[in-house]
Amino acid sequence: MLRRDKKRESRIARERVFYLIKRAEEWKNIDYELARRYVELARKIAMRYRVRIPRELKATYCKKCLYPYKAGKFRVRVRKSRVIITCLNCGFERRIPIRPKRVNRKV
Amino acid sequence: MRGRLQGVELIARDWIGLMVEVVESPNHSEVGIKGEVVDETQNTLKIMTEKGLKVVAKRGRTFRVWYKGKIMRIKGDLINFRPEDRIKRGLMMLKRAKGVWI
Repeated sequence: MLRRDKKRESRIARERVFYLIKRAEEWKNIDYELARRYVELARKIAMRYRVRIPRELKATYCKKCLYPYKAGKFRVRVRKSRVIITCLNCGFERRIPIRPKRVNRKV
Repeated sequence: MRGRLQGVELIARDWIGLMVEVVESPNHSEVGIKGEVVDETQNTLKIMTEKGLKVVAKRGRTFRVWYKGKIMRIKGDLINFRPEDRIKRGLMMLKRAKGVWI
């Protein structure tokens, strides 16, 4: 029986996801709509082959409308011990909590 | 013909960003379209040429591709999938073909 080579698939998928998000980052000032399409494709591939997108790459685009954040189109504020990133295209707020460093109580 | 097939990666890889030229096409005015692929759908490639954006169907065409310093000819029928499907279905399609090692 023919089997899928899942290791190979996920390796190729990972390459493609990283490549597309990087490309979206480069193209966002040239063609914003196309940059969004790259993010969309990257996410589709990542979901199908269960590739995890690292946190620092996830923070480069809006989770809701998938437009990459670019200068003038997003706002970053620190409120109530959270970093709040607002997308000015769709108004979606992403809240990233800032955890204080763990203190070892026993000492 | 047995042996490892060249350019298997290309079927599963991203075509966005590659230089491409249309070599054969049932539509004569499409032959010679050359440029960078900027977007891809299930049935078409969107190619950015010097004269603007061109949309070329994949089925029935042959493409010349510049990839890692090599020039390859690829039939459009082989990549006639959705871009995210191409990894799985493209590789399986090659596996099913007789006498092909990947």
